[in-house]
Amino acid sequence: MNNILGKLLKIAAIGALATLAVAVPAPLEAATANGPICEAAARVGSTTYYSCSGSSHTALDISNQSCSEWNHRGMLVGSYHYTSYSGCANNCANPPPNPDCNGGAGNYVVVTGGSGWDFRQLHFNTNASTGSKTCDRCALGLLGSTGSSYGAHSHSDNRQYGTRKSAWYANVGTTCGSSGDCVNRVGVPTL
Amino acid sequence: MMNRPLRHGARALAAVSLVLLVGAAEPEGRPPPQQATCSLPGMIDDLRAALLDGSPALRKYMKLLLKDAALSMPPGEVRAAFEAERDPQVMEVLGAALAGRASRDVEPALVKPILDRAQKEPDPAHRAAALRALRGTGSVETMAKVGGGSYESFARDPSPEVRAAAVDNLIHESAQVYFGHDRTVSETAVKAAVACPDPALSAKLLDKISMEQVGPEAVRTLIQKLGSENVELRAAAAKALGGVPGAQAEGATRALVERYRVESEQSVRAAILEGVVHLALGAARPTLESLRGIDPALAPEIDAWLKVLAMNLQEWSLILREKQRLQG
Repeated sequence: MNNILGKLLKIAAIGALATLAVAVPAPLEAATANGPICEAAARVGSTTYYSCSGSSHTALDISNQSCSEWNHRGMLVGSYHYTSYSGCANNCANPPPNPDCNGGAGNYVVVTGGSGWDFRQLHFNTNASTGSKTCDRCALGLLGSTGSSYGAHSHSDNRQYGTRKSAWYANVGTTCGSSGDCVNRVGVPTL
Repeated sequence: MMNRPLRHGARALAAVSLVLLVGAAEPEGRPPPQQATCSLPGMIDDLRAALLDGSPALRKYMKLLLKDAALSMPPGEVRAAFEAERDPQVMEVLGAALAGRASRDVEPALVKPILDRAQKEPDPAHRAAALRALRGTGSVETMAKVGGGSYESFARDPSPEVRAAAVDNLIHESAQVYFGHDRTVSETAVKAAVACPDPALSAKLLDKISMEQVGPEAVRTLIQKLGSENVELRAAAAKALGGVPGAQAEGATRALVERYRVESEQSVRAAILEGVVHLALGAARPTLESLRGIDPALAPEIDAWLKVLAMNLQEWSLILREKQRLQG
């Protein structure tokens, strides 16, 4: 008897939770992020630490050892709105001549999600097509080294209220040496 | 024996140049699957078969596979296949593939055939399928760039199916593409809600769309909808007014309080209280207290809001959740 009552209570509790789940605001979304460079040579160079053993970084740096040669693409799979912040002179130099441009981010795009979450791609060089756009893995610019950057690469991070998080790439096993090709998933950022 | 969905899956994998080695499991007399080159007609056949009797997971997989494969196919071939297709389900997938290609290449003109069919097809199932193909893209912006079709006109389509597709597209686009931050999408949704002859759909639209960026004209429209004859629509307008930007908050609060005093439905009054709290959060306490004597039946609702506000929660989603928990 107690067993049956217990089961009924469990069902009632599940029902109540299900009702609550429907009524509360939409949950945060886990997006899929592929590599930003459509070349097999693209590789992850830094993750939680610079070069995976240096100081704190908590983002992905991906490069293919070239500069201004390949379009730097939006990483999120599906259509999202990329807001562009540019104005930094194209640069392939090392060290950067203007490290403070846009607070060190250089030319960058950001997808602003809910509850303080965002996803950014930094340091690229601009071309005539660079600007804010709503698109699915479209070309955003050229691989570059603008802002506080040493060597042309794409820096991507997933932040909440400005704090970088690591789970989005760590939980899918992305680490130094992983492929950064645009056909390869490198993370599941929250937005 | 290999069942039919699994066969479709195997063919699909072959289509992306992967070889599925299942020879050991094959019964004698049945040839093992062969590696096949990726072709649009072959993928459409597989999709059609999966839609016919595949599992939900296989159907979803085939749709995504075709959409992703279309990114590297000649757009003209995808467009021709979409224009020739008569099955609404397949048509929607091909349209979504074409829209995905347009989004990747930032070529809004590729979407024109989809908009044409969404407007001109005599069969409402085809019009709705074409419209659904645009779900999850920046379709509001694309329509403005390409011309030919607007959500206001789709929302007043004679077919309920088309109207529902328009409403669901806008809700999805606002929440999943722009995370509620786009003014144009929100204001388009308000206009579509006004144009839609179905109050339940209009209410759904106003209830689900973020109003965080709307301008004064949209706020005036929402205030007008507070006086709608439809109860559901009045409640949705009240909740929507709760989400308008700070610059519009004073007028919105005034309109909500005025409506609360003359409103006859408790569900609408409850929605108004939610709107008032959403607009001012902790600063809503005096307004809530001033409304306490108007309808004694709403006193527990006001008490619940005051209790939640006393918790100093910092986000609207947390406040809402706590309110629901208190009244669970």
